[in-house]
Amino acid sequence: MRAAVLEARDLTKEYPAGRGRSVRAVRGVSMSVGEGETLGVAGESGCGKSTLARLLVGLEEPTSGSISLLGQPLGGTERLSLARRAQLVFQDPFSSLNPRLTVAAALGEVLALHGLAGGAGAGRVGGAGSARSRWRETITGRRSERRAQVDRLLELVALGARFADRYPHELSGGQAQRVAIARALAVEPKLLVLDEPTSALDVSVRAEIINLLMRLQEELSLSYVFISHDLSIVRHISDRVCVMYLGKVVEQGSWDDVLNAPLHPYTKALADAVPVPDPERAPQRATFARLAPTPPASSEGSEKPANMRTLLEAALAASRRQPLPGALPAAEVAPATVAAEPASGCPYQARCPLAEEICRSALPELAELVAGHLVACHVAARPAGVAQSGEAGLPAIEREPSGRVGRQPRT
Amino acid sequence: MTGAVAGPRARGEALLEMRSVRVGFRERRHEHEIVRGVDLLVRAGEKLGIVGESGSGKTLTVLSVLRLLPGRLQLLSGRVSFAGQDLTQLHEKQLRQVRGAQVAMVYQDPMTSLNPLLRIRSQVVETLRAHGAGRDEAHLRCREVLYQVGLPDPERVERSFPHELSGGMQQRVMIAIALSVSPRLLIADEPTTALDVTVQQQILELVEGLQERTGMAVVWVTHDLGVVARTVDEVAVMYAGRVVELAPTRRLFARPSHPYTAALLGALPSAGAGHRRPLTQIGGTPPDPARLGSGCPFRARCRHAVARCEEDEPGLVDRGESSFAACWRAPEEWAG
Repeated sequence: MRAAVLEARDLTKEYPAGRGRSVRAVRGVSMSVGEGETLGVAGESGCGKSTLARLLVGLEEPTSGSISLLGQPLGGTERLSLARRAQLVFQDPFSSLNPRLTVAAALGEVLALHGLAGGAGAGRVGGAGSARSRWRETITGRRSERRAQVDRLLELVALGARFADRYPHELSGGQAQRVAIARALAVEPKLLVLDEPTSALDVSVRAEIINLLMRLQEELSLSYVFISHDLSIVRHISDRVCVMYLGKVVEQGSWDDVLNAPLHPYTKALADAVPVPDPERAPQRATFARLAPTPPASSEGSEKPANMRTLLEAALAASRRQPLPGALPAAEVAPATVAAEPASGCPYQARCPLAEEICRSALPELAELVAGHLVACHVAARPAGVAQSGEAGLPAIEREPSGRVGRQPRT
Repeated sequence: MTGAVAGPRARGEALLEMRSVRVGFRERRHEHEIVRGVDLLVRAGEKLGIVGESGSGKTLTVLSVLRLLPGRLQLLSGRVSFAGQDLTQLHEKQLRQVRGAQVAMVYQDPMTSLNPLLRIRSQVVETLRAHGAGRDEAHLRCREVLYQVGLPDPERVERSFPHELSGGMQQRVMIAIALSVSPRLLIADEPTTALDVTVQQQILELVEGLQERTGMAVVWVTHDLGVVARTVDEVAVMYAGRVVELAPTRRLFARPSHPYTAALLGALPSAGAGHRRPLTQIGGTPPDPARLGSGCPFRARCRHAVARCEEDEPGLVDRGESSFAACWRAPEEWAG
């Protein structure tokens, strides 16, 4: 067992939502990341993954729960010393880089602030110096030393010193993201929290950034929390994966267990939704039924063009079938974000094809169904592992490749 | 056509035909090209994918169809015809009858396409009325199209403002508006890029289902090869303002004929790529369209480049099985 770099216990973050109510963006999340390990965090927008990222690096304070970094509790730690342990890399490098600073100035600022090179900022950290005076020190401090350090950082992310005098607008998306990574690495952190670091990038550039991150991890024995909605990338880079839904972790385990043999219906739906770049493996052509809700009453007796009529009739005929996972639930009328948290029971119940009575009343807790594989699902946790076909149809099972739904836990 | 045709859907008539389309801007008699001669053909009922990275000219290519190019950009030369009608010769007023009614477009960000101040109903009805529907007919039809795109409770959606809907629902509304006048061709420009994968799946299935039933043709513009693999019959890969490969989808993924396509496919993390193995990089950056010079625009990043690639830019060459690639070297010669 590798030593834990990050330990989070029962993290909860609430935001006031007016009228005395609150929205729980993160609800009881526990996780740990070992040295040199990558923990992938997957989920849709609104599942709380970015809030989690901010909590982990101390940009937000949890409402309850605790985080420890390198064995030290995060609460009460001074901002700057905390920053030296954990750094955050954002999705869009252009909005996280100051457009008026050259690459060298952006990196040099960090170094000076932490007194890592050029000396000027040392000792004043956290002191009374205004941002402006610190900034002046940044540009007037001992240049040569700091410049050497900047060049070294740029080499580290395979950019080279020739980029030092460029402004962000002179960089491509991939180059800018490299600068953002270099800036995060300037303080020699142990942990990088990467919030969708490749989502804004083109395919060819994405591969470069992923390769860079994997190389840096080995060279510097960094730990990563890799947050992404892109399961193919999470699968590629992560040692362990946790899947979030409405602020809760619904499944957690090794990358292989979670993404190749998911047990939670949500993880399955998510994995199935990822388009596979292989026409031979493209999913079955969907039926219109998947998306057909109850037809509006007013459609009866309308005199519309023939093609529309036939469309409606086809939809009506097909709508006897139950919608499948991922199909539009009525709940989507309110965006499926943390605000849509159901009053009781499993957060996924509205979209879940396997939902039963118990799912509406009791909140499933994360349980270790297989060694090291945690799942929060009443149905998956049942010893038989197979859903009781209580509700009509359960077409989800027909559609799944055999052996994936209700897979028997290995013992 | 007679019974000689094998399949249920024979290759239909040419619907959209683009010939040597060049898009760019003029500056003191000098032409700056961004799209540098694109030929594309979409037949009735067919689905064509246009794939490329940002800056490859894929969006400008489709915007030029309905003369929707922004700012100073214009169609420099070339012919765009739809169902035999030359769109470049039409007056703005005539073109309006083609927009929407014949060719509809759906864009990437539904929030910027919908008017935030108008209820959904007004926006759908507005489109229908503009294409000649009566008031009652338009209202009835509005509810129908919202239902058609799988929105639950269309009556409620109708009364909503855009901000009250989720991204997926907004995109459904956009598709409903696009389809409300039964176009023969739908141009979808990255319609799912801003959406979650589960919502993307719903939108893809929605368009697939509607396409199957109405028989409209679809041009799907995307950077996501996964989306292309499941959505379209034929793929055009664009690089530096040109189509560098055009092939049936299966053939493109099984045996790409252009080094760029091969590199793109290699750069994807896939289940078979090996966990944590380095991904294949293309290296380098796409060329600046302003300084292309002669020769193949991909040569600097191409591992199979030869002397000839420096001098002449290759045109599309037949590589068999209805596939075409703009490369001097056949895939068999690549190894050397």
